[in-house]
Parts: sequence; structure tokens; C-alpha cells
Amino acid sequence: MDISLNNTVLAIFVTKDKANTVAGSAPIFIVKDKQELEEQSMLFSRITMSMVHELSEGLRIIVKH
Amino acid sequence: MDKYGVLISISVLLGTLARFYTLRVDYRQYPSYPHAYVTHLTLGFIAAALGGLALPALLEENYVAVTFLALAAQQFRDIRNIERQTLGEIEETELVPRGKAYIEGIAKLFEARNYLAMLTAFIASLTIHFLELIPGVLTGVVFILLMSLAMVGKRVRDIAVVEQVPITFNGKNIGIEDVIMMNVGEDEGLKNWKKHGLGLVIKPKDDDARATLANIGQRQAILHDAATQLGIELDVGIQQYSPLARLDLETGRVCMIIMTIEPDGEALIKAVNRVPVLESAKRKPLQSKAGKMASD
Repeated sequence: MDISLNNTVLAIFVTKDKANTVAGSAPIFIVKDKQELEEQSMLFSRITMSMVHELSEGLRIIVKH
Repeated sequence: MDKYGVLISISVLLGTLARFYTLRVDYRQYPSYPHAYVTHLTLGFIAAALGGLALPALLEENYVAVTFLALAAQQFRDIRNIERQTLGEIEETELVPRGKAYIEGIAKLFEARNYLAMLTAFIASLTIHFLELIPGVLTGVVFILLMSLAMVGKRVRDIAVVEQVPITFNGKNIGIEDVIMMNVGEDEGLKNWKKHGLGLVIKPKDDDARATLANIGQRQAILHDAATQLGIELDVGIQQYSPLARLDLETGRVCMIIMTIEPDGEALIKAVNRVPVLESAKRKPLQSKAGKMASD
């Protein structure tokens, strides 16, 4: 049986300049710039079969629906 | 046997024909693979045999034999179970699932069509016995045509107007008009939605239709049928391209976004128009006093 964490924040991706705006229990990945943000969040979402959401510029969360 | 040979064989034949006819009508709606075809024809034949044998049994004053009709009901319920199970099993392999309500609708239909086969055989045997062979056959055929006409359900085009509208992009949010439906974080995903995405609005014609379209099963059925008929750009694990059908709470319209392989709006409207209105989704609030009062 498959078990997955649905509708929960799996990870947070944030650019360096916004790093101090996030905290919490989900893994936080601090990335260099927007390009790295796009690449890494995409990879992470593909690996976990989930979806990237952008709350504000430079701050993305990964959620599986 | 000699006495009822013609009566039984002709009525059973007509009953089986009824099942065959409805299978043929059904072909577009439900991909009937050859094995299912054989299964249903055989079950239809059994149903017809039950219907055709009822009258001779009664005429021979073999009243106990009629109890096997109870067996028939059990048998047909099993048909519903078979369909439900099969469709439920393959549901996991569908990119856009049919949804439980749609499966239940299909299963119910298959059960009902067996009753049709049985009834046709019974009515044909009645008319053949009390009238003649030819009028009996004619009555059977007319009954098949009438019943299959009566059993045709409504489609979305009967209860709503479907229109194509452009998808609204507001930063990372996409939706239709002022209804936000999805937040796509990836730039690539957003680009693809801009390129291939299609937006639809399904406007209910009255309050009954509004309640019906609000049903989650009905909306899932619409998505499934649209996706199967036009093809969908989607794969396992890529959730950002999932088609969505959400309600505009203010007006009761259903807003739908989908990324089809061929971004052809006309074809999409046609596909959605033909989606059957599910029996289990059908609501008629306007037929109650409270519903009528609330509507004005």
C-alpha cells in the first residue's frame, strides 16, 4: 500500500535574500538565485511526484495533492 | 416442447437482440473490449431465456418455476458488481479517473439493460401466445426501440451552456475570470499552460442544473470524458498539469481548465456537451417547495 503525505508542505525553497523569512518543520532549501530556485524546486517536485507553489517571488513550497 | 418451441425460441432471440442493440448503442460511451462484449451478450441471452420461459412455465401451471425470476434479480445484481469491480480496478491506471459516481452510473446501466432483455423476451412471449407470431415479433422490436429511447439519459448540453473562455493568468495564479483555480510555481509549467491550456465555462440553465453540476462526481465525469476524447498532456507525478473543474460559488458556473494534446476549443466544447448527466448526480431542488421558495 502506498502511503503519502498529502496536502502538507513537503519542503520550502527560498532564495538567499529571503532566507530569514521562513522557518518551520519542513526542510528548507536556501538557493542562490531564481534560476537555481526553478531547477531545484522542479527536481524536488518530480522526485516526490508533487507540485510547486509560489507564495511570493523567491519563496516556493512543495505540496503533494 | 413442441407446443412452446417457437414461442420460446423467438422471444429469447428477441431478448438477446435487445441486449445486442443496447451494446451497440453503448459502444462509444464505454469502450467495450471484445471479451466484455461476449460476456454481456451471454448474460443478455440468459436474461432473455428467463423472461421467455416465464410464460410457458405459468401456462403449464408450473408456478414454482416462476421463483427462478428471483434468481434473475440476484444474477443481474452480480452484473452490476462485475462492472463496478472491473472499472474500479482499472481506475488506478487512468490518468484522469472516471470517479465513483460515473462508475456507479455505468454499472447501473449494464444491470438495467439486462432487465430490458428479460422484459423484451417476456412481452414478446406474451404477444406471440395471445396474438400471432408476426405481431409478437413486431411488438418485441417496437418495445426494444421504445425502451432504448426511454433509457437515453440527458447530456450536459441539455442542462447547461458550454463556452470557451481564455484562461486568466495573474502572476503564478491561473483561473477563469475572477475564479483562481491553481497556483503553478514552476515557470515551465506556467509557460505550458499559456501555450496549450484551454478554459471552459459551463453555465447551468436553471437551479436544478446548478445543483447537478455542483456534484463532484459529475464534474469528474466531465473531466474524464474530455480527457479521453481529446487526449491529455499529463503523466504520473506531474500534478501541475491536472485538469480542474471548480465552481464559481457566486453564480454556480463550472470553470474548467485542461491541457489537451490538441488545443482545439471547438472539439472540447463538443466533448463536454456530450458527457452524460449522471443519475446519482441529478438533483431537482426546484421540485420541492423549499427549493422553489429559495430560488426566487
